[in-house]
Amino acid sequence: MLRRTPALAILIAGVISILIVFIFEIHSRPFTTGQGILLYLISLLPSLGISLLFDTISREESRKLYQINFYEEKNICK
Amino acid sequence: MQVGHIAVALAISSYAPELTGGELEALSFESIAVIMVSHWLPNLDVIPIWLKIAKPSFHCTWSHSLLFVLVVSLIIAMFNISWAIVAIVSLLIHYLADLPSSVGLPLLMPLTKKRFSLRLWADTGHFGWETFKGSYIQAWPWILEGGVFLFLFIRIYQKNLWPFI
Repeated sequence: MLRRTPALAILIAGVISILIVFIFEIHSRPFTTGQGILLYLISLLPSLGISLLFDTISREESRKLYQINFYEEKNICK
Repeated sequence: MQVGHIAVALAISSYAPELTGGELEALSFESIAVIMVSHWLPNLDVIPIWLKIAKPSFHCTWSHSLLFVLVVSLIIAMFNISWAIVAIVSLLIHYLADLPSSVGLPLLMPLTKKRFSLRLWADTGHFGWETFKGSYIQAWPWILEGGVFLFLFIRIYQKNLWPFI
């Protein structure tokens, strides 16, 4: 993983959190601070994936994995 | 999909009343139990592999076909129709969640062994740390599984359940 990837994920998670609040928040029951923090933490999961899309190391690892058949006996990790 | 199956099952459970005409409650113990078991049922094909009765290539074969859905739902329907309905949805969504993996699903077995896959990420086997690590070094498992957890968060908020009460 490149060093910039987690930083990018932190930024994207903020954007996703704000979008979710704008789209789904019910005005009569706004998110509390704790719920907002929880929303941000959960947003970090897909954000990490989005930032990994731009990570050359991850792409290379993925490319290598495509070449392995994990269902052949010889390739099963002991 | 690995850890994301938990969120998928819980998200399906949040729709239990709509699916069963109110027979099952959203996120009740009953609906979660039925959906978790039926959602995970296809992956129990690893048991014969662990017991060395089947080869590793047995994973994602018969248990990931539409025939399996039919057989399982018919068996469950003999006991409880509502359980059968949520089991069908759980199994089909399990297949949908596994479809992006490169292993591919032989959905039309035994008619054809053709495997269907969206190839968004490389499949890394059925069990163990290498499988786990290999999966989460790739981008799409995070995007899709994280997306499901976000969806579940929104569903729980809309349903006004804990921690939103």
